[in-house]
Amino acid sequence: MIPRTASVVIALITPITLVTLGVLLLGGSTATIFGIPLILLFMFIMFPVTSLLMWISWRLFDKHADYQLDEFEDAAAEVAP
Amino acid sequence: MTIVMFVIVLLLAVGIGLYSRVGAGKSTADFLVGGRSFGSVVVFIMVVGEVYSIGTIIGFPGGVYAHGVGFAVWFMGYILLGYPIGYFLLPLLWKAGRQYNAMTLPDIFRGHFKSRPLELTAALIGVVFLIPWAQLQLTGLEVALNGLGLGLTPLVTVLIGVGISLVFVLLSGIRAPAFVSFLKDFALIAVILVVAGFVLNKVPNVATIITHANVGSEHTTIPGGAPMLNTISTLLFQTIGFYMFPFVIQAVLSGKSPVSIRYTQIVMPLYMLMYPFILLTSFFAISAAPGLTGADTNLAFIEVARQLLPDWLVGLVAGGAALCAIVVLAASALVIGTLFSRNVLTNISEARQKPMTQVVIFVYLAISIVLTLVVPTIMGTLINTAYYGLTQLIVPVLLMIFPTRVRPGAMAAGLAVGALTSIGIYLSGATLGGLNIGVPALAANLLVVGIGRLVSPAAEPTQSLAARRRRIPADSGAPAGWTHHTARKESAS
Repeated sequence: MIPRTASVVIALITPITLVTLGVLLLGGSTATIFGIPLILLFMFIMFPVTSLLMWISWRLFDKHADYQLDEFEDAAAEVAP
Repeated sequence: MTIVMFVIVLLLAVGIGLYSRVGAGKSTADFLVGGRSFGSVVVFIMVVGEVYSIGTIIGFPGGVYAHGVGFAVWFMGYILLGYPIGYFLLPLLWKAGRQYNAMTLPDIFRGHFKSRPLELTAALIGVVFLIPWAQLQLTGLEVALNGLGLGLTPLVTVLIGVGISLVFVLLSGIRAPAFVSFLKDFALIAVILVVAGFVLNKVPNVATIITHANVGSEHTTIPGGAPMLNTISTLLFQTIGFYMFPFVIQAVLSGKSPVSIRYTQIVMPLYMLMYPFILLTSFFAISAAPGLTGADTNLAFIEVARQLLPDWLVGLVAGGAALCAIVVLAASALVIGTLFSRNVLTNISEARQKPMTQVVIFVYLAISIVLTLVVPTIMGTLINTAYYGLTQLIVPVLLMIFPTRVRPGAMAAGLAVGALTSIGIYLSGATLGGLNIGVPALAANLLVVGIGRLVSPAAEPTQSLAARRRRIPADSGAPAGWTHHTARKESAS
């Protein structure tokens, strides 16, 4: 169940980065589109975009991932502290 | 007519709750995690049912009324970003649940780290920080029933809600909230769309509603400095803690495969498309019901409903809103009972777990009732308070995935320090320049874990939940008892 790096970048890192940057950049803006503040419009767009990103990762990488319930034979090395 | 519609909604819910007993097994696993038999649709409905509580219908408009768009952004943002985390994390937690025959997160910790102190600390954090969550539901319930205009006292209103929740839990365990969630999820969307529809009927122009919301004070931007820091830090902090909620984990463990759980995560953000409609009502409330302050801002949504809707529809809206609180209250009560009987009190036989669970549920609800009546609080604050503690659980969860030589005792100490730090800062009233209180608490948690690793490392790194097996059964033949879940198999079933 170790995910591919590309899958993590697409489905996890991309939406988190987009939302964080979007809030920081658009939060103070008084601009509106059809009367709706830009920051809210951005958040609404991110709903389907986040779904889409996860779906892309699913189709490309995770659909055929190994979901085995498994026993481990080797002790893993510690991650770098 | 108002009360008739209200009673119809609740009777329908009780009927479904009772119906959920049909075909249910009698084992503890059946009572707590539905025999681990729920497919994608039921898990989706349950997670949605428990994530979008009365905090969304009543608390969200109140928060936007009081704090403007900064509140809306962190509220929507942490739920949204919680799903990508769930996409990767939940299959692992599900797998651990199967591996250790777990029904709670502390069960998983006990199985993985073989540590009683860690199990106990995690369970106590779950129990303590779910109290504000029940308070959130009861506060919302009070507001919803208030909307009926019957002049019921707060005590009577919360007792009605608690009574129905108890009926659900005591009769059917997790099956009742799961089944009633179907009705509740529909009711939530219906309530939001109906009220937004009446708002648009009154003021057909969205731009006008938003412009009026800015009269007096700015509600549509997030000013730099403390408000922005608060929005961003709360958004990211609560994103991390989103799937640490004990009842959501219980819903995940009740899924029948990791594939079904992943499906639900992909679809979840689309359910959030209801938020534009509830924001509309929230902005409308600022000009339509001016002058609400403090805990009274919780009334924003129901005030709009009362102003615009015919009486019978107000009854329906109040019933739908009350249902949202009752379902989540039932699920919270159930998980509290589970945590207490399985992870706090030890040496209890499987046969005694169920009655013990029911006793603990009574006590939990009683404490929540007292707090709701004695300390009225803004609902957004109650949400934050629950997250301060529950997010701390992410540290041992990550240490199950990334192997380290941290001793479980250090993790338990980190959890305790993190939770106590958040409580200390909260009670001191410090504002930290807008920074979410949970952030320094999480830093303290990590510091303790880091010191523990340096001063007294474990002999061997822990095993990772994510690690691959050495042999693939397709190549070498799987031993009996191994279960292989694939997307193809799931979609075919």
